[in-house]
Amino acid sequence: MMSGNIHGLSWFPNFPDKFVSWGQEINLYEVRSKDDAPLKSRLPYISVNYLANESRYQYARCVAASYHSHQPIIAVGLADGKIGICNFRDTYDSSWEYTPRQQRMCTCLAWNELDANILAIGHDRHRSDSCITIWDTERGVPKETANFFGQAESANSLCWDRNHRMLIAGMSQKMIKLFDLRQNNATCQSIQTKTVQGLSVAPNGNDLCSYVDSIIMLWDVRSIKQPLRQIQSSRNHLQIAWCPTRNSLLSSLQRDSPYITLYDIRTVENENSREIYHVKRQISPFPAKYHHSGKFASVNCLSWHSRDFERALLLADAVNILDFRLPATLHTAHSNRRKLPLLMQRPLYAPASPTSTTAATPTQQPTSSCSLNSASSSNLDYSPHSALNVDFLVPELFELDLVDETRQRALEDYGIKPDNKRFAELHLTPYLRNVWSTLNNVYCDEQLSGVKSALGINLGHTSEALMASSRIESQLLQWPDGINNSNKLVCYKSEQRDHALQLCGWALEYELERFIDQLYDNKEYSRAAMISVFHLKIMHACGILSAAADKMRDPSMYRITVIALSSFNADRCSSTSRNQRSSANMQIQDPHLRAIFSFLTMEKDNFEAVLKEEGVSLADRMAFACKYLSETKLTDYVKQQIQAAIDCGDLNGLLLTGESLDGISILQSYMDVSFDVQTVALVAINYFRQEHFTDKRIQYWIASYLDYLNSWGLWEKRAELDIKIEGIRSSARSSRTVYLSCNFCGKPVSNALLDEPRPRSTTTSTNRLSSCPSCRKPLPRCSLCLMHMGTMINMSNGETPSTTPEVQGWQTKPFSKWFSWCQTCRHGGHTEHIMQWFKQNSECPVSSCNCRCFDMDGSKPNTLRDIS
Amino acid sequence: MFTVQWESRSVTVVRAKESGESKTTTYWKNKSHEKKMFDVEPIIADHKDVIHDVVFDYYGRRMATCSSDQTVKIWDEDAQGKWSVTSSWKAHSGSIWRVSWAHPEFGQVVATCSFDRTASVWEEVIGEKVSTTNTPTRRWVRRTTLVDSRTSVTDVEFAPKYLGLLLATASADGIIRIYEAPDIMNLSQWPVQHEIANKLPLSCLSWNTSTYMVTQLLAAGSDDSATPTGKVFLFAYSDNARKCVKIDTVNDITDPVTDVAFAPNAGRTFHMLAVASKDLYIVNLRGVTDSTGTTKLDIQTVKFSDHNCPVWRVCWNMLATMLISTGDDGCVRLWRMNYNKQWRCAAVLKAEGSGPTYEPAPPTPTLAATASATAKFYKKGTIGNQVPWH
Repeated sequence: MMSGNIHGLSWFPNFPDKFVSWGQEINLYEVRSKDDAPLKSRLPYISVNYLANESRYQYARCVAASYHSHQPIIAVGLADGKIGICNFRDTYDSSWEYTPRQQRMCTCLAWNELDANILAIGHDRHRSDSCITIWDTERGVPKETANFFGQAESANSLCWDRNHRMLIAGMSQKMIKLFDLRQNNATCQSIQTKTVQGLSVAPNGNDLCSYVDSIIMLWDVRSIKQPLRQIQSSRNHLQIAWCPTRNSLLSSLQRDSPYITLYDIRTVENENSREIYHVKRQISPFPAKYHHSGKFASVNCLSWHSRDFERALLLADAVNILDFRLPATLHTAHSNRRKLPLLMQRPLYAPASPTSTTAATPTQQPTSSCSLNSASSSNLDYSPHSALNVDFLVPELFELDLVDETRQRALEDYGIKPDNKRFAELHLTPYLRNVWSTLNNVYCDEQLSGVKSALGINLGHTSEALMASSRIESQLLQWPDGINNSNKLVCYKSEQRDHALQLCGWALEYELERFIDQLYDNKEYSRAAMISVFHLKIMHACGILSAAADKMRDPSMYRITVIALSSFNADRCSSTSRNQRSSANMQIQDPHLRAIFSFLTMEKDNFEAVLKEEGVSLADRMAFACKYLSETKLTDYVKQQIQAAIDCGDLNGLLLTGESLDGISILQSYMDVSFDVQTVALVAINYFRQEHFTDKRIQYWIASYLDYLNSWGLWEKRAELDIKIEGIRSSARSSRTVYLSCNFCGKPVSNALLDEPRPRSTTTSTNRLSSCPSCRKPLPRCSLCLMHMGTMINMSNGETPSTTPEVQGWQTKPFSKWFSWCQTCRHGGHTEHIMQWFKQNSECPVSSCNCRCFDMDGSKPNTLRDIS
Repeated sequence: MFTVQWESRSVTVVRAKESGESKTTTYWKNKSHEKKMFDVEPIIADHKDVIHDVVFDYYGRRMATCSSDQTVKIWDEDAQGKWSVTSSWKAHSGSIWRVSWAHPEFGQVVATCSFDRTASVWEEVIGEKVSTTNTPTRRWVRRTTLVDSRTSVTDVEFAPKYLGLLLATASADGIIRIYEAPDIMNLSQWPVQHEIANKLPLSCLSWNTSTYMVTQLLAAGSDDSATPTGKVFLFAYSDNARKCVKIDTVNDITDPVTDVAFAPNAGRTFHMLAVASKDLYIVNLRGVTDSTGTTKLDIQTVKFSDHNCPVWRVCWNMLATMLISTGDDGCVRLWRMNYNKQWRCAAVLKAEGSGPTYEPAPPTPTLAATASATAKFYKKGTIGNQVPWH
């Protein structure tokens, strides 16, 4: 038996696990609970039991599931007008069938919720026959005239009022009629509207919605004269329904659409007006990837579950049935923490077990009942259904997080004291570590001069003039024995160039051996060899490499290099084999070794291959350029490298620019690429200390970084930086903000305090400090220990001062011994005492002062640590 | 794959935990031991109705939420890192769309806006009474109600601190109003400084925090679906006109816009604006100075269709290295930049019920066991075959 398409489906309102589907035939199903027999792999999605079918009525026009609670009962309306009632057991019971006098199509059916036996039937028009029939199924087929309404009209839609025995009917495409059936001769109220395709009363019992085509109209059942609101949508509605577990959530399906449209209907109630508005939301029950594949093109029918929160059955493409829950919306906002907070309106669900579903009664306040329910069950059951799922699509993108790194580095005092040892301890990328040590090397005499200015490029005079003035020695170098190279090698030397070499981290000739040995000790073997070769100490390079090869796990490359170097003949590998070299170079992994061969095989004066070797650090390339490039070429090279650094945001370029506008441009472009405001700000603080420190950009980076530290609550770290910055701004020292002056004479007291560290006997200074130096009136007292300001409280505590009296001035006192006071009530005392007081009290220690000094700050008490 | 689990009843901290033995899991095994990617912390909002906005304060220690249930809740983090509601009050007589914190320098101040056509400014004050527990009693006092709008006020946001105590509101009649409290000690006075009228209804706005390029840069989006024109507008203070004027429109985005967010800018030369619309957009704004010396904005829009449903909210992390977007299907997507400086969706967070995760082909049992699928397909034909009495 194969069933064809399904036309519709419906839950039974009083059976939480049963539903009926109809089409060619009518089937009854029961949803299996999760604990049942394991899923068969052949039928992977089925967690439903087929219970029964009803084959008498084929191609039902409309089917309605009743509110009976003892057994599942449906009413079936057929195209010929016949109405059948079926309980899926007693197969043939003629008393449960009703045929109208005239054959016409049955259009709609509606069971009454309050009296489960009452069924309202709507038919098409036939002459003067009535179109609405009320059938009390207990009393047999309707015959009395009281059961017939709407003569010479057609019924388009029917629904019952939830509170009273009142039938609401959309009739003849033009009006909604309300029949009050509480009296024998039913009164009728009617309103003119075209929106009669479907009717539905909201769970709150007051709101009625009706629709036609693309218009939804909202009414208040209690006063139906005026519509509350009209909602116009772009497509025609297929079916609308209220979600029974929400106060006012209206769902709509549209023809050939994969979306469910949800209208959240809300009201603003002022004193005398009621205003209705709605929030629209569209969701698709299908996985996003099928939207375009055409696998599931549309949702045809929806039936809300009467008890389970926001659960519905969906009919997809007239074939598939889905059990669907509205997605729980997650709210999130950025905070400055690593944790991503997710805000949920309600707890996620525990798996829908029969016990929990029956426990959850249909409620006015679904939130509260659900939260209890799922909280209790989630303690027992950690099934994946009660969980959040995190799907990492590109996990490697989460491996490094700049926010974390920035915070971590800030905690490690990044950039407070730049020296090479500190960088090793920090969590820095090798790139940044390298940049910092380069900068540290370049920085001397309180300024970051940079290679460009060391070479005197663009300092107002032309390079020719400079050449003349600075005595550049050019020296023809001889290739050492064993290297047959007919190319002449010219090496340039001058004071500036020597200085530039040092900036680049290279040593001068006389220190060269020690420098190379040092590199060797640092295990930078290939770099040591490269620098040796650049100084034409090729045999020395061979020595380094062969020694290094013994220590390497994969020494083959070094050994081959040694062999190649020891019998190198540049003349032999000229012209034709140069192409060979370039392709061979591609295969050498180590950039330094590559640079060696490029250098040895270069054509006359063409150092491009070495100068453009990206793997070799900019410092080394620059040093090489300083050694072998002529003045004009060197100038070009420096400018070109600066431009390249600006273009790609390479902080190593600061080596060339030093503190200059170009340097700021490099910082800016690094900032644009990396978003790393911390490094940029700290480089600026540490090395841009001259005239460029006041540049707007630098000031903005620093301000931003300080702002981040503030928002993390890293006050001490910020203060340390502030002190450092203040040291740079020595010229424009900020004026003092706190003045200490005597209450009586108004003369400053602080001068006397400054004098205090002068060597003198402690007893006299203690006496002197507790009173105003000019008028001898006592200074204010600590409101707790009642000692005068300036008194040594560590003495009064009986502690022996650990330091000698000479250094025990006001500068050396710990902060806890300082005086502090409330800015509101002006009472205060020793910080230590005040902190103790406010641990237990919230009001000011001075009697009769009600000031809540400590709560004045917005931050919460538990975040304030004992700062003493 | 990570599953995350509940730890306690109300506020729940979730830990990343390995699950199952499926293929995807083994892929993760190595990495999950080394380092947790990030923590997710679900918080039950306890609002009676749909939540519309959640915002953290400057320090990330307080959180404000607002909802259609017409209440605002203020949450505080305790020493153990748990969030609890410390204040909750009915703030409006309609849905509250948005809430915004002022910089803490101005005190503990939030602003709210609502469908009831008003925006309000609230300040936390210390109560006069001394409670028995010795913790100060704090309550939120309405300092002012801004009643200028004739329609729903859809968004409210405090301006960045360098501009002073400024507040911008957007309303459904298309007007942006910028209020300023001239005296920061008196939050009851908020004269309107600027009023910018637009043709389209506005749904959202966002201040740019940076002083680079243009000052007082403000973006606003419209949720109008009737016109096929650009839906994101940029406003800035014009020195010549001495008022805020519209300086540009992002013409690439013509679908209704529900949220806009400027990335926090610590000193980049360009601004990034995330736009939630039918798809997610990231708009890069660069200042370009042409030959005549006037600065214009160069606007580049990139579209991301990964959500496959309308995007509802967007927000950035503090260094703008991550973008978080929420879709109408309940999925939260986290976006990161790859090495190529292209934004990529790097992770998807789903709550239970947030869209089925099936394959149409016969799935493996492990998938059925681990997937958080709540929708099931019942294939009718095959059921029929099983019924014995047919």
